[in-house]
Amino acid sequence: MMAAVSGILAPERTEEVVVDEADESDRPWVTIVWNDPVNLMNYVTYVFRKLFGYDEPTATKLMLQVHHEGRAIVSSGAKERMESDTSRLHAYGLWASYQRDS
Amino acid sequence: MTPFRWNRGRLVGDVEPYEAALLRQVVADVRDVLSADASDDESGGSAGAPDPVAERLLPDGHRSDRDLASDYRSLTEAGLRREKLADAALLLDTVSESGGRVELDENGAEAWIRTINDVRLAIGVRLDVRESDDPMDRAEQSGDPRWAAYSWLTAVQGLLVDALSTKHG
Repeated sequence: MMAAVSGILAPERTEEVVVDEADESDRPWVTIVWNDPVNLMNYVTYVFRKLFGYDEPTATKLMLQVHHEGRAIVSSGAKERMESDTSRLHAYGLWASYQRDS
Repeated sequence: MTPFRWNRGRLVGDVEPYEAALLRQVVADVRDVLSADASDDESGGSAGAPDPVAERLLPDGHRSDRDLASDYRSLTEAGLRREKLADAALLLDTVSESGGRVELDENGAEAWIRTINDVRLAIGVRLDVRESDDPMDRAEQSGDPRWAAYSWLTAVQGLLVDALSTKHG
């Protein structure tokens, strides 16, 4: 599952040399959680509720998206906040990364 | 190990002596990986390949942009490592070598759940655990005691998630 989805992120922003400056800075950043074979489903749901304050249905929906689709966007906003969200997820052992929204 | 239960704001569980010994050993293993990996960094050394367990516990923050990944690491890695080591130390402080009653406040319970998850991630890397694996079957087939440990830790993690989810909402 990991190998199948990793290609989605292949086109990176470093390649986008002709992007308008304003558009580039307006595009928000996102934090993504990736599927992994170890984290328990109910643990992932718990962490989403704990860190982001999502209610149970929202947290469960995101967890299932990670499980079935291999990844889910769990938050979006300024770059600094996505760095912080990623590190809070890493503290709980979730496989997270942040990037500019594509 | 009994199911964890809340008693006057504290999470209470009971740990058998053999469980305490196992728990202390696997947590100390993760602590040692995180400590060894840190001292490598400080010596500026690229002495050997990075431990894949350390890479899983302190992963890249960005998947393909090396500059961003490097920025993220310099911003967060030392803090994350410190937190993980503090969590592991707290767990080792709260379960005695002979087992018995464990009592945790909410912060302690969070430290436990994070540490036990890190230990599962670490063993998962070492055993190359796949989503389709049944740990109990693998334990029987391979005779490798780490599969049995992984299976038990998964059960403990489940008990902790149940207890904390109840508290949470």
